[in-house]
Amino acid sequence: MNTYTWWAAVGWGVAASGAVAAGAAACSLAWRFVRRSVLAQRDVRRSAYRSVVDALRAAHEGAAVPDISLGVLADDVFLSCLVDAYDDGRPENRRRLTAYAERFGYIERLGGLSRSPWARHRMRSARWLGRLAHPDSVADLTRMTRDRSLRVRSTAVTALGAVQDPRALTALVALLDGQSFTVGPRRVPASCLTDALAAHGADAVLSVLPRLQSPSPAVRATAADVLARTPHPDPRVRAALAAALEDPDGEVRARAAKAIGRSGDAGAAAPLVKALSDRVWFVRLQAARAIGVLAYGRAVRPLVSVLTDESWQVRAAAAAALRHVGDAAVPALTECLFESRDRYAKEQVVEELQRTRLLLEQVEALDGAHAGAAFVAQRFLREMARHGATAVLLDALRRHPRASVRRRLAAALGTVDVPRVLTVLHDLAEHDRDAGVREAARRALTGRPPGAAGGTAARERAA
Amino acid sequence: MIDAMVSAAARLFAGYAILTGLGGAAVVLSAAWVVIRSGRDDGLPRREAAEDERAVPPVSVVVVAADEDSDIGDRLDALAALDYPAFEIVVVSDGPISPALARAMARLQTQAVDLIYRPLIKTGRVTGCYHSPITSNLVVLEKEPASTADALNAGLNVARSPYVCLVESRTWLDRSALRRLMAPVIEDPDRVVVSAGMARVMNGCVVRDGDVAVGACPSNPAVAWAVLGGLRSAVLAAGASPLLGAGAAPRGVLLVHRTEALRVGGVPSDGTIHDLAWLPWTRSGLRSAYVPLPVSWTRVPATFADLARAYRRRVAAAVGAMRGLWNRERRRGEHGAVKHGARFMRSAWTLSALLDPAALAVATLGFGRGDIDFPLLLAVWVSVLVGRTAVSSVAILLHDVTPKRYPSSWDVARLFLAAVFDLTVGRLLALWWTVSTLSCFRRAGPPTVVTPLTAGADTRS
Repeated sequence: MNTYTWWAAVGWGVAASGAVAAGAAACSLAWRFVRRSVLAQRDVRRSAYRSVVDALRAAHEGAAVPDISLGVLADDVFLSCLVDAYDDGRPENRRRLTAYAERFGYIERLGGLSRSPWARHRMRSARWLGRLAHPDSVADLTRMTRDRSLRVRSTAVTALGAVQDPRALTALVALLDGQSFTVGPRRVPASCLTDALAAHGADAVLSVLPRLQSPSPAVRATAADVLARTPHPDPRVRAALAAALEDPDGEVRARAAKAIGRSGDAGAAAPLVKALSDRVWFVRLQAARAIGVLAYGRAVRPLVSVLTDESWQVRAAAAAALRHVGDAAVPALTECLFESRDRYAKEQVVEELQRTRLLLEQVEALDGAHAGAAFVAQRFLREMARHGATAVLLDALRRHPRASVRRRLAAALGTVDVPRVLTVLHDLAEHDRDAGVREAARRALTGRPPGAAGGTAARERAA
Repeated sequence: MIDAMVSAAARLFAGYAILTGLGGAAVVLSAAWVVIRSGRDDGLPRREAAEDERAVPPVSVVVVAADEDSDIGDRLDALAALDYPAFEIVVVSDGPISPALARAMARLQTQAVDLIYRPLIKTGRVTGCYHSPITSNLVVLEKEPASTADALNAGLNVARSPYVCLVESRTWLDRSALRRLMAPVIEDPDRVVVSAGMARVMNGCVVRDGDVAVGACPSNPAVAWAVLGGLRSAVLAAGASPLLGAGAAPRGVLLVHRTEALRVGGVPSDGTIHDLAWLPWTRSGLRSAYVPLPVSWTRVPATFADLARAYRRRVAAAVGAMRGLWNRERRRGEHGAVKHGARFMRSAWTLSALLDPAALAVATLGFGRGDIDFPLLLAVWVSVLVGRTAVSSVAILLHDVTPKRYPSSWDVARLFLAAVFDLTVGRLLALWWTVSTLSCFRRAGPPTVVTPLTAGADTRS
């Protein structure tokens, strides 16, 4: 073997791999160096510009503005410092920002940039016009909502939401009517349009309300979404949302339900009950959530029936809603467990309720001031134990800090014919630290009907 | 005859080396394309994630709590803070609940509940269910001790969501993990049934407010080598996934479609979650997705001795899996593609530690005998050395463009030093560990074949 040739092959291999690694390392380090330098320079400029912006803030309105070079004005860092200093929501600062934007020529410059062939520049223009929120920028932003780049269109729509001008709202409503967010090459994301319309607040609500009758389902759904984001006390809104719950499109119905929930108006909740039996699962989900938010007590029975829904999210929402309704829900739940002949449905109901705090709250209610609530809670817990929810109750029976609760729980569970319950009652009858609890456990065991599992043995042991 | 065989072997190994190099180049280019195409996307946009439950399906996160898992409490807190609108957490304790998990459960005020357990996949007996009223999406299962795969399958049984994120023990989930893993699923819900992402090394990082914050790349050579290994796995997975339609998933975390996972019987009894990465090969029209963003964090051994132990365990598991390829009973069954694909990948991973040095040695021998000329010898050395270096280099560059990268240039320098170590000493260590494990390997008994129940069977435990 030619050793020299072999070493040459090895050497070339090592050299090639070394070159690859060195090239990659150089790329990585260069990228980091450039990035760090750019960021450091930006920080330096930002510190310098802050003093300029502070000088502007210190100057009185209408007073002479210090000379600022074109290079500084063209720097995005200066613009961001200027906007950050004045964009705090206060009207007087907004006025000053608008005045400076005009004085420094930003609106014309950014308007010109909106015609750039580069999408990156047009997007930058839309973003800054949105932050400056000058009324004169509406025309440029409206034009950019038809841009060929999706990012530019989205940014322009978002910017129109920031410009609190009626022309901006008109442009957004026109976009909504044109369904530009659904199909076609110049579409706009629906979420962008919804955000932008919602940003106009109450002004948008009355403009969007008639769109709930649009022939297009997408327009109706977006209109309902806007109403969900901007609750409005106008009775026409309530009527329109109630009508939207009958819409043929599931998305519209779901969003209308969400909007009713967010309105906080319990009086508008009645139509939600029918939506609990909608054929589309996410409509039922939104209806259950809305009823829970509004704590609408008249929907208890329909909510109980929804506890056996095929979708676990709907079941969980119904269980949470029942918990929000509170004590008013307990009799209906008890009745469902008592009367229903569907074993699997009852097990599903019990499982969902165990995942909420309802059981623990009813355990606390055993010792409540209201005797009626205590009786109702007792019945409910007994039925829950009969249908398998023993772990939570037995844990409370063993460990609850208040003896009075343990006594009443022992009495409630006395007739439950489940071996685990009997075992714990026996244990309590002999070992509980409170005499009253021991007595209650003994009575629970001895008071069982003849022939009940463990009943006879319990009586003998007690004797 | 022997001369002919040696000559053929020399050419065969030379061909293997060159093909591996070309394959590596293809995978690297594919990975680069995946990264470029994903751009600056950081998973699902938050606005959509927060608002539209219908478009953003809920996810069940199944976590296995091992007995020696001392930070399970902190991990549960981190899981509760995941940035995703609808998810539930299922913690499965394979065996009695550990003291650390018990402390965490006490803090979360979990209580025993009687949930219906439907063993759609046959598992060990579930002895207890707990639910937290504070973190209402947390369920803890206690079951008889069996194996991690059995625990994961119990979690699959209990999970309610259409998608399940399986998390191995001692693995931290990144706060944005679910958004990142679900993004390709939401884009193509009919076909994407498996999603995986980058597994990063947690050594040298800290946890702040439930999220992993990156510190410096550890200067410990063993850890730096493991960091590089994780990045290399990420590149290979990112590149292989679009080419194969299914792929090797890095360690730690895997998101699967629950119904599809149940269809194939869940995690194989002798396997890990990565065996499910081959799910798309079990039915036409399915595919997997790899997200080149960090989704999970794991601590790695800090000494070479511990690294050797972990490496040897993986080799032993891979050899055990390879044996399954020859087992006729285990080849039968509807979903052999899952198991065989996983076995094949594990075999390839084990053998690569042997074949690469073997290719160099045999090529040298062939060159000495005159069976291979200089250009072919050069091609072999360049393929083996440059191939491995290229993957390591691209892995480090990939790390540079992902969130939570190491901040300092010194960290990058350490990683490149680790790449040099990997190419030289590392390959020799891997070779030694593999050979020593194979020589000490003892035949294990045949694994138990678990027949899955039909999905939908309503058996109450």
